[in-house]
Amino acid sequence: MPLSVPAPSTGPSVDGPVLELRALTRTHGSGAAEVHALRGIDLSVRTGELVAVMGPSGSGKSTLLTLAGGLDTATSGQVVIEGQDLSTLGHRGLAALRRRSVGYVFQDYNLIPALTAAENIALPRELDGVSVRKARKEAVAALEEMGLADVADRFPDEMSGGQQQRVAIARALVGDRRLVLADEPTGALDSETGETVLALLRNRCDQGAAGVMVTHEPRYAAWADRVVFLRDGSVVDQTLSARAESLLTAEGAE
Amino acid sequence: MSLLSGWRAALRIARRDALRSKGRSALVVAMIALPVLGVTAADVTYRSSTPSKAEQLTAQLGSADALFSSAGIGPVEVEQMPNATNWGALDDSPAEPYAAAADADSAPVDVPGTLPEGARYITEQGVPATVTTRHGIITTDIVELRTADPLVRGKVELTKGSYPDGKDQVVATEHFLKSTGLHIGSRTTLRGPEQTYTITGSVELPADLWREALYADPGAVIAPWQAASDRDKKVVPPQVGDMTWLVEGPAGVGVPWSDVLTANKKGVLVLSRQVVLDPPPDSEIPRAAHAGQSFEPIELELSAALVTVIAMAVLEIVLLAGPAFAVGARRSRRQLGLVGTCGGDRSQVRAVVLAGGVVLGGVGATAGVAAGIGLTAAFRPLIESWSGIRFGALDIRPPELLAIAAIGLVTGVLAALAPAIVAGRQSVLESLTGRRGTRRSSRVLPLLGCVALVSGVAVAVLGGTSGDTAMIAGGSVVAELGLLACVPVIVGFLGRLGTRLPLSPRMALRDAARNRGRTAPAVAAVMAAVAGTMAIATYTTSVSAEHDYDYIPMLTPGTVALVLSDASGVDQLPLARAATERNLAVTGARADFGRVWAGSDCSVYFEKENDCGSLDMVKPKGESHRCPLQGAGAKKLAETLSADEHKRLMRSPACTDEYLDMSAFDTGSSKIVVGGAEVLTSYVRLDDPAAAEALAAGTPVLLNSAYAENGEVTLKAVHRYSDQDEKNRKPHPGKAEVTTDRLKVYVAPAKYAATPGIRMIMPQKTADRLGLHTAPYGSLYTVAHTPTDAETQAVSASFTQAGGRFYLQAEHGGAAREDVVLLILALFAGIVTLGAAAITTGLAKADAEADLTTLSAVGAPPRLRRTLSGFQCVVVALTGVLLGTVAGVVPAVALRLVDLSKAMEAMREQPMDSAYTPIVLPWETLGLLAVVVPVTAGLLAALFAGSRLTLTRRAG
Repeated sequence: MPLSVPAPSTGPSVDGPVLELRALTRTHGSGAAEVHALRGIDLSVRTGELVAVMGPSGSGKSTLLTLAGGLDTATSGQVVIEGQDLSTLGHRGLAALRRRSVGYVFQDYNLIPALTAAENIALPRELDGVSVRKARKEAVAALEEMGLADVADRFPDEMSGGQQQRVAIARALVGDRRLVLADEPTGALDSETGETVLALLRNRCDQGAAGVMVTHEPRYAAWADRVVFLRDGSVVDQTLSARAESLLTAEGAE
Repeated sequence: MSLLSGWRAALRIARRDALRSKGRSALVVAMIALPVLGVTAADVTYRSSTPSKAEQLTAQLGSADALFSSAGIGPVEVEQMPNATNWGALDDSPAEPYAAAADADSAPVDVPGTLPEGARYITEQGVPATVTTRHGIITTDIVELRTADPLVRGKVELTKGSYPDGKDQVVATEHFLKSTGLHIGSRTTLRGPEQTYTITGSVELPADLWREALYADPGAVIAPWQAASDRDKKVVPPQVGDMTWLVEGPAGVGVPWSDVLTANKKGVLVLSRQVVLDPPPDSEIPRAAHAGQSFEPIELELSAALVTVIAMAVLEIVLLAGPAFAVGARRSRRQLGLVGTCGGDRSQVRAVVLAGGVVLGGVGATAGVAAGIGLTAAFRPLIESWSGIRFGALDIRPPELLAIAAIGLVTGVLAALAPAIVAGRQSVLESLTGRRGTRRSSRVLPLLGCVALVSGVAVAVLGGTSGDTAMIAGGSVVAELGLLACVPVIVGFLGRLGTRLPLSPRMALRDAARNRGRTAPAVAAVMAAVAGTMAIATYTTSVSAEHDYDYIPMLTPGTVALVLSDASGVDQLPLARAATERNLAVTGARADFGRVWAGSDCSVYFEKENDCGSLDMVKPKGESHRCPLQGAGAKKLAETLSADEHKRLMRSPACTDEYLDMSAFDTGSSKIVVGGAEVLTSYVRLDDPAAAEALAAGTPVLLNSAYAENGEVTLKAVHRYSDQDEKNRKPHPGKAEVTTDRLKVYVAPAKYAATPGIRMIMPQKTADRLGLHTAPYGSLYTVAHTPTDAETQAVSASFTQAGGRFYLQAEHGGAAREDVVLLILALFAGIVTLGAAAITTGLAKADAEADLTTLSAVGAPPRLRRTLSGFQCVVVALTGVLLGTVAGVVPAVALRLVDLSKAMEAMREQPMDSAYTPIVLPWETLGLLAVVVPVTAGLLAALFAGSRLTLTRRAG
């Protein structure tokens, strides 16, 4: 049985986007110190879609990701996840959203050092009130599916970087969650391991999840369905991934 | 979502985290465990050393069923309460038996006749005696008791050797052996009858380990002594004590209440084990019915002070362990952020930090209780010899220990509470990126803090003046909490002071001020530890200063007096002086002094009334010569006096004269001694050449100026002679002559009025001129130390050889000072201060790593890291110590004010009572804490800071 990631046909809003950003703006500071991190971004990500976000430093990539997951609040505009407007949610609502709808993967320090791989994956479910036994069963199943059954009882510092990152992806998608937000998930990995992790992420999306991934590397961006280019907080281009490399070469020239 | 599931994960994370950062966990566990250990050990020691009723009975009865003794008022009926200490003659008021006791000898009580049918008994009877020791002689008790008898078991126990067997053997208590230098196998001779005994063993009294005595079988000491005395009149007969009977009742019956009542009819008191353990109802106790008394034990009040101590202790541990949890929360900030990204809401993030408190608090509490019991058990012999009581068994009371452990656990959770709330409030993004959230510190809190501080101090002081300790306790706690709330503001203020300082201290101050969230808890921890120490130290220092002030020495401190106890021994005085000089650590010159009297010597002719002369110094009339606190108008005056005015009056020569009536030697009511300049220098310590010249010229030196009028004193002598005084009667026939002489004197400054035992020193030639009689009386010596047991015994032996008509008096000084306690307290506070400062420095370093990297990048020398760490440590330690001193002095002063108001009340009732209640700051403790500890903390921090540069990875 495929784990709890639902098949595309059975999702609650098959046709609607999983993530939708509408005229999203984020401004830090005020007056002379005012910095526009994002200026009116529109983006929607559908089921099965993996979107890569690229751009130079300070272009607003990470801000976009934190806003999309409800870790930060937009200055204006809307973030809608599975039909739910995040601005209507309080602290508890946002926490519940992260338990049930959105998963995060970061460049490093992804896993809680005090918990084993299986416990890390089970954590969101446990926090959601699922019994320890059930949460662990789900976690072990997820690990088995990724061929990582043997690391279930290892602590993060006993695993390789690639293993850690794959466990992090499993954790991001455990339960009913269908949106994974990844901030440079391969940044701390060598290229071969990076490819494995990307393959996993791609695979998850193909199975019905939706993903947004920030990356610097054009060859990782090639795994995505779409590439969004940001500069100074605005989308400057959207393209299918095949063109990403050539576009980036042009960008990189400046 | 169930609350429990979140906690389960939280506990798991906390447990693993505790194991991962072992150093920090150990620190927190130690902070929680140490007080728990201390309280546990104190509880077990207290419970074990407080004898139960049954243990008290064993101490008195051994294994016997009862102790029978004569009530001492003859064969008349008495009534007793079950415990036998409260009793009275029938139809008599309880005061009367003491008056009747004088006739006890005339009407013997037949105690054995009152014993129950079929009872077995042994007797116990003591006699004071002088025996030889390795060093000399000692006066001790010899008890005739058959120590080998099974009935004695539990009362006297053999520790080494064997029980005495035969008339020439004794056993000695361990303390006796220690003080006399004798050992098992030694021989000791009873002076007087000159009976010699061999010490066959050492014994101890489990309930009184310090007892010094010898035990012999009945018939071994008293009877032969009496016989020797009967044979030879020069042998002083034994002054035996009352005999008691240890009784074993008929098997299975013991000594019931009915037997006690029967014995009471014959004037015999009975302490029966079964009656005390299971007392009869009041209706069966005639005395209870008669005197309207009930046999109810008095309940101890749970003092407000105890509650305060517990509350303060919990508060302080919370403050101490808090920063450690804060460090933990900050270090694992990213981990907490990850919990947030996994969907953990604020309460779940809080739970992770709180779970740390539960885990470490639980471990600390358990370890503390276990170590407390273990250490008490391990050091049991030491504690027993210190408390003087052998513990029957370690008395461990699970409910009390559980309560102590629970307080430890709660303390851990409370300590984690503030960091948990802070961690919960932190935004997930901030946690993840490690950005230092620029959280504006609350403006309301310091305001509330100031209000709490002021009102707390006010309440404490009000409590102090009205004598309400509960108000002091409450006020002090509120004030300390208020000061805590103000700490961030104070720290912020400190930051502005640094503008002109060199780089390192300036950065340290700024850093402390900008990161109040981390500086404040550490400062609070130091403050808490120092506050407690300063409170106790200030109070005890003040109290011991008061005791020192109130103590009236019998001799000038550091001197001993050799005094003639019998005028006939005057010829042997040189021998006694030689013995004293040989055996004691005498320094400086000997000062001989003599007695002076008029007419026949009252110390010889005292048997008939008006058979000897008198010599009095007449106090001049007038207010300035009279102590206004004595006699008419004293109470009225006392009403209006302040403590200072009262103290000044009490120190005036006129008043000193009223209460300074005890002395090591008695030279008559006028306290005039005959002596020379040596007495001035070695005893009075009056180093005025004029005084010595005056003595040489025949002018007396008056130490109490209240007796002087225009530089003169009036001496009134009644030259009355006894007819028995053949030598002196002849030249002075007829009626007693009364002379009044006005003498020019040297008047010593007012402070010499406090010289023990001497009011005036009269030169020999003045006494001769006035027709007074004099005789040598003894010598005064300055000694390097108060005589030891061995020295005293050796001197006693020499005195006995020289005729035994002397005694030696030493000044042992006032109560022992609490210096050791203060030192331990200061060390404790010092260690806590070091620990708290270290925690903050570590925290500051972790926070400032990025800044340090930048500093290195712009070319700062490596040692800057060291000096910066050092100064960060100093800032925390010094601020905490100064605030703690303020916070600690408040309750101490308030408590002293209570003492003062009580003393004033007593003084108004009894104007001659001292009302001196000083408040003395413990400067040594303060110096140690305020200077030594911060400097040490700074140096240690600098030493361990390391100047190595570590590159940090930037997250986010």
